[in-house]
Amino acid sequence: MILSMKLIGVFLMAAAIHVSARSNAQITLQERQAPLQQVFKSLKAQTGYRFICTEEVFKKADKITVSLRDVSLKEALDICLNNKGLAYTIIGQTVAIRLATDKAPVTPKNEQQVAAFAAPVTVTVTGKVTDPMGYGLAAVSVVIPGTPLGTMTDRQGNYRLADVPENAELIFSYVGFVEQRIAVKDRTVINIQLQPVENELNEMVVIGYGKTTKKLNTGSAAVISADVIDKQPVANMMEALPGRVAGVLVTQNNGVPGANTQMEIRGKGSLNSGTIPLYVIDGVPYSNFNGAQPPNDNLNAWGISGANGGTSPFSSLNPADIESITILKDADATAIYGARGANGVVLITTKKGQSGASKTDLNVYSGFGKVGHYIPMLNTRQYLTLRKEAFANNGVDPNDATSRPYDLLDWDQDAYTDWQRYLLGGTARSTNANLSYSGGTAQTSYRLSGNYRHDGTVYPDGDFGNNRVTTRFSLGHHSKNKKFSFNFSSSYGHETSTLPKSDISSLATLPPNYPSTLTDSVGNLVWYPGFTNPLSYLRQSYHGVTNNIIGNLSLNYEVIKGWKLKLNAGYTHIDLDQKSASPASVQNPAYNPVSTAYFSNNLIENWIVEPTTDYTRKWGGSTVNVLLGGTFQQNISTTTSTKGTNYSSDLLLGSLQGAGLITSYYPNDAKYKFASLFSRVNYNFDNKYIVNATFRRDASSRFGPENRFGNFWAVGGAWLFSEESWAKEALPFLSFGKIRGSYGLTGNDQISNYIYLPLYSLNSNPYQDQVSYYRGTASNPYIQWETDKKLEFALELGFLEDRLMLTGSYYRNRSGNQLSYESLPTQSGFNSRTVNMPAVIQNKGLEFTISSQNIKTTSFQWHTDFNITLPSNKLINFPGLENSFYASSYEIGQPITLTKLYRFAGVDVQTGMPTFYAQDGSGIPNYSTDRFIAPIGTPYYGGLGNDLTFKNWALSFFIQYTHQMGYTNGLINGAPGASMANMNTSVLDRWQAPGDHGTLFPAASAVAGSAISNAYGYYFGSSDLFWGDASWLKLRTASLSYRFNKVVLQRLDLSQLRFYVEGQNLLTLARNKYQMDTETTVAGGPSGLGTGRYPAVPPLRTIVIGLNLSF
Amino acid sequence: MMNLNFNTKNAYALLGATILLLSLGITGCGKFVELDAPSTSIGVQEAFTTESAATSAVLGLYNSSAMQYISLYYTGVTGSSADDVHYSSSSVDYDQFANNAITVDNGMNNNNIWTYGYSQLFQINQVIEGLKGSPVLGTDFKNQLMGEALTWRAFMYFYLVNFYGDVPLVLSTDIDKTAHMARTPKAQVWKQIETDLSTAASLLNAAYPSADRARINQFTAKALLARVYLFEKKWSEAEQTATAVLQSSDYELNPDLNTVFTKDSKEIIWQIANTTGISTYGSNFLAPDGVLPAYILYNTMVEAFEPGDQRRIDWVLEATVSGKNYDYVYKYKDRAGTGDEYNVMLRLAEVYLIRAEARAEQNKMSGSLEDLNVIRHRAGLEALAGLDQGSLLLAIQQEYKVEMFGEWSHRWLDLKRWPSLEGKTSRADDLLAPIKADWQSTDVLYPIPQQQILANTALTQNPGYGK
Repeated sequence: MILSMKLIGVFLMAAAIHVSARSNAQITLQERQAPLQQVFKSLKAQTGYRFICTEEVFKKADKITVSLRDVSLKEALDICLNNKGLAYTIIGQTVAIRLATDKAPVTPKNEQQVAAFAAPVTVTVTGKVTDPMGYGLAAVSVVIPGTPLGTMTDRQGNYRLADVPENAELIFSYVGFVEQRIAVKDRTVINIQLQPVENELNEMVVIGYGKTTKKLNTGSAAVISADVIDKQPVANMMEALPGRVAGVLVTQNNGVPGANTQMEIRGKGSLNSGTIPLYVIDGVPYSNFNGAQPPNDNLNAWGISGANGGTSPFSSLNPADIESITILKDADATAIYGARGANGVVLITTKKGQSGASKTDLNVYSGFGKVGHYIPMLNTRQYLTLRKEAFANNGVDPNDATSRPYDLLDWDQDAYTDWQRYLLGGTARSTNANLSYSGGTAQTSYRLSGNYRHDGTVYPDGDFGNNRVTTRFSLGHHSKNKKFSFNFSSSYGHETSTLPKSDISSLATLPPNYPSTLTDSVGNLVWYPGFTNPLSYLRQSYHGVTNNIIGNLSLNYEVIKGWKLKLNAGYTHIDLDQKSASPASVQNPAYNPVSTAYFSNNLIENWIVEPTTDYTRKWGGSTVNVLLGGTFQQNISTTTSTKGTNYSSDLLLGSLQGAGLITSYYPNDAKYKFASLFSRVNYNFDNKYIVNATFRRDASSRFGPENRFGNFWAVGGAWLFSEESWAKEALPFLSFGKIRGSYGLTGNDQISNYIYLPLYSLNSNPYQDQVSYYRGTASNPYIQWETDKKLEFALELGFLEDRLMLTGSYYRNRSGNQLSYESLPTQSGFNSRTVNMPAVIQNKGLEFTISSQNIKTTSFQWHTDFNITLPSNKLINFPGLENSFYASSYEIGQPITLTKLYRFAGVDVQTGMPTFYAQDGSGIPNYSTDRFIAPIGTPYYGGLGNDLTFKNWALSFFIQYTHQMGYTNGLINGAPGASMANMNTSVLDRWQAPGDHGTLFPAASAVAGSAISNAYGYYFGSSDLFWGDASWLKLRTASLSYRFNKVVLQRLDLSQLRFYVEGQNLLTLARNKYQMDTETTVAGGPSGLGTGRYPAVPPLRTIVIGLNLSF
Repeated sequence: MMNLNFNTKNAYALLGATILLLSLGITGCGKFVELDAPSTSIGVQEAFTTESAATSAVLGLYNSSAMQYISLYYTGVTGSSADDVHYSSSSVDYDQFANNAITVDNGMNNNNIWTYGYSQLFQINQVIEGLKGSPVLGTDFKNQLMGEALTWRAFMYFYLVNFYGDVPLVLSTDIDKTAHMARTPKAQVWKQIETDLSTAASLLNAAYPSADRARINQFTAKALLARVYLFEKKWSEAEQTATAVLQSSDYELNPDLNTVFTKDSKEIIWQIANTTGISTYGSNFLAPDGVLPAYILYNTMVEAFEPGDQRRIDWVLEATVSGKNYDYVYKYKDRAGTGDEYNVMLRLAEVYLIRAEARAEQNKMSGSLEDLNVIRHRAGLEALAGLDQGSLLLAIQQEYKVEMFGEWSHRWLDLKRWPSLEGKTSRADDLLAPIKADWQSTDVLYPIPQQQILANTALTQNPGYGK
């Protein structure tokens, strides 16, 4: 027994004699007024356990009097130390005694560590940990390796660690910063600055059922981190992604709040089935494709719609809760998701709490959005000139026209209303407030967040907009021995949407002299035959309420070192309650309107249970990881829709109660079940050679018993050649070099549910008051997976100590066994059925990504990200195409999104008539022989981002670009001046008199059936006149922020204070100015797009100012 | 669980057990992903496990959308191939039927005549298969439904074999087997029709299973069977079967011609109900004042009525449009809103004519005249007497024309089956050649739609329509 006489010391009771420990020994103890040392000695003799404590404990401890017989060690300790102000911890075969007022020490792992605990000379070290800017870093862990001693910095970054052996080393570590080891060397004040982890190679990358690093990843995974999302004032996380990731197209359907977005990863690989990626939030699938045709994941796929069209499943989630979004693209990364991996996988990871002092973060911004670009339209004078000229060209007096031209004969010839600005010229206010509270202890961490958001619309007259409230809670905990841990998170989102029933953008073509008095003296709407009063659209309302609940629990247990068991369970519940009302009083009385209300209840419920186990073993330079798991998933989607008519009063339209007639329609009740077994083996030799093999067997309820199961697999490999010694010598400028490749098979099951089942549907009308059935579709029991064979090669390079990183990938996906419609001889009872067709679609392309830390000094940093994708899509095989449904839609060797156009042959200089190319010389083109495939050029797209930091200022801007051939004007079908609809100013360049050369447009014509009108025919709108370079470039995001320095922060007792201004969709450069937003017009984009030639509210130009503070 | 400690040995055992468990799990996956039908529909097998569901499946035959179209097109479009009604406006597809110059790519022929016919047949075959496969339904109940379905099948094939001659005789719902079947010789189709109807007649009761004669009973099957025997020139069977219907006290000719087609008319043997009381095909002949009806009557048809024929007055109406007069079918009276008319499928007057013809063909002159005069009497015409067989048969043909015009293409099918008086192939040659410019004997059969031949290369084309 040795007793150190130092002022503060550690007392070690253990002698170096081996006594076998008897944990459940029966202890007998008889002591009277014995000092603590004596009691410990006796206990040690009986149990073999040893006892440690500080000298302070001995000083303060009272004498002990006990009489015990046949008790356990624990009971003995409890009794001895009870009421003595002492506490203890049993670590292995060591009992550590401390004052009950002291914090429990970090658990030493083994006896060697405990021995180090006995170092005799100790000091108390204090100091402050800061980031490179000098700001205090909270929750930095400060530990002495090999001992239980450790602490964390407080909110200002200060720490105090007692009992530090004077020759010890301190380790400072904090997520995202480079860990530092500092020798104490008799110092008592150690201040330290941590450097952020610059090397993104070592950043964690979330992959399917696990994590890896960018360095060791064998697959293709792109990560969007929270700071990218947080810099964009978007309501929907998906809107933060366009242009950010090579190979990924993301577009929002329109600029009305709540609208859905489309994401397409590496092209469209299916003729008719869904191409929606699999979305996974914290391990729980969040895809809402429920069998709707055409395939989409709109929450209201079976319900009703308001002005925003499809309702996004992501608009009821808070983007500020997202920690990262990982997009998995190649076979190696996606095959673990088997049958759902063909369209790519999007892994969304939410923010979790971190151990350390609690932190409150408040972020509030407010701003406004406006339509960024208006189409230049004719003014009244130009419009009326066009109309008069159109009649004159036809030789018809407007007074004699069959349908009366009100614009020329009845309305004020000088009146002018800019209908586009009247309808869409408003200001959409946005307000967003996020509040989060997070922190934790060594074992437990938590995060609680709340969000309120309001988005208005640009529509006039009406209190339209979206309001959203979300909360999210996450809790993580691990047991003291770290063998068991769990993570729990749950979120709730509530979104209400009040909108016009339909988008009023289409009315932007009202004649400029259409009377601007829309109501009469008593407030009734004024009507003109053939026109829709804009107020009619504005007064037919839509109201939708979304409730979104996501719960997720994951349990982990490490059975023995290297072998873990995990259970992941999740539940998603989304309900969307909708109603829309069309009062008769605001509809055109000419059509004998009746007051009608629609009600729709949509429910989507999804649960998943995934047990997994994984085992890691290392020997020599080899590491093997084996993962094995299973999936049980069920998705329920139901929709009940009801229509009420014959209301006695428009005031009753809000409920079904007041309806005289109630009809149920378009019901949906679909269940989708999914079960799988999957495995993955990863072999890593010396961090140089890595092989990754995946296998998954899936069963989907969308398929019949015959073909219900599908096997999917992938093999990926990586060679980190820069780790080779020859490379280090020969290529000294190369700091990182990796070649990776993968090949594998994934599947797609995004088809209607129940196709394999012969089903009777219900006729909507009864027969003699009884229900009757019909077989609506031909079932196909053999229906099976669409398969996608994915190949990828990539080269990843790092230069200048990885400050410049380059990645180049080549991918080739071949999607076959297409789930599509086969035409049937109708003697079978049907004209088509869904079958697997041997058609093969190839998507291949090149992707390049550059990430560069251009300048890195203490006060100035400049980082650039760039990506470009050169995609190509073509149909490479389709046996029997000529005789199929699709003979005129597709061509071998051409993209599946091809557009066929007539050839415009110019304007006849004498007559002003349009002429078209026709093979037979007749001038009348033939649908099947005279259309050609519109060229798409060499499409490419991508983004360029720059982040600059100068002292307290930070500036970011991001440019998105697309190069592609496409339509260069809005949809113009007939002749200029043909109808009472305003046109864009491109029609000013038209033929007006014989001899007019080189005009863009042929002659105006007002009368249907006239020679000029007939010459336009149906061909004009489908001709190549408006096909050309449809490229565009958009300043999608810019943000400028200022961080207050520490002097201010200390005075305010804050850890962070930041002001910022952010903008979205700020500027668009496009050749085509006759489109509100060219982004939504490019053919070949995700399905649901390419309709932008029709008017719709574009994504808004939004500018907000905000404040972000933490304490 | 947290404090359990494993040694390496039992850890490996546990690992093995986990893998085994997961492997067993996957074998259960197939079970896990098995689904019941959604509540918005019912599995075909389940539909034949209860009486009410099986009834709903059968009612679907009456209420199918295909049947809505069939009643329109098998009355108007195919009817216009004869000389009673024709489409009033100009439309290429319709005109080809009226001109008996149907091209192989005629969309009406493909979509509305052929496709709807087979679409309805699929639904019928589904019911027959469902009933056959049902072990739980009671025999009496099943007999009724089966009788209805078989009658339905005979009804559809009666039209298809008349329109096209040889047609694929699809008797199953197995698309893989039926989709590419070749045409079945028409004799075999007729035989199937006869078998289906005889079986149906033996399964069905005289009583209707529902109100308003809106479902098939035994007499429906028999009346249709009588017609089929007549078309097959099985005179004595036709006579006997018609007699069985005429002996029933449930039916009698409606004395008032204006209410022959109202839903409670006792003349009706079978009609298809609707919710509005407006007949689909009946209302299609009607139009508001001053508007041209969709179908109008040939002048030869209007002129065919003998003086004093009450049917000329009650069943034909004149529309005046832009100063021109058009005669149209006015058998049904209700056009819009709510009415009291259903789609009449079979009525007693035809059965009298069937027996009159069958008797005349067997030289049973007096019985034949008796039947014929029943019809003439109701129309306010003098009884005929003292005719020889040839004259009587012609008188019967005349009576068919003025009694059955504008109903289910009777005139077209009759002209094709009656022998020519001029040594040609059929009576159609005699009567249609003078009024249809491009009439050819081969026009008695419609072309097999080109689209079907493309989709099913086993199909051959009818003579007169190229290769």
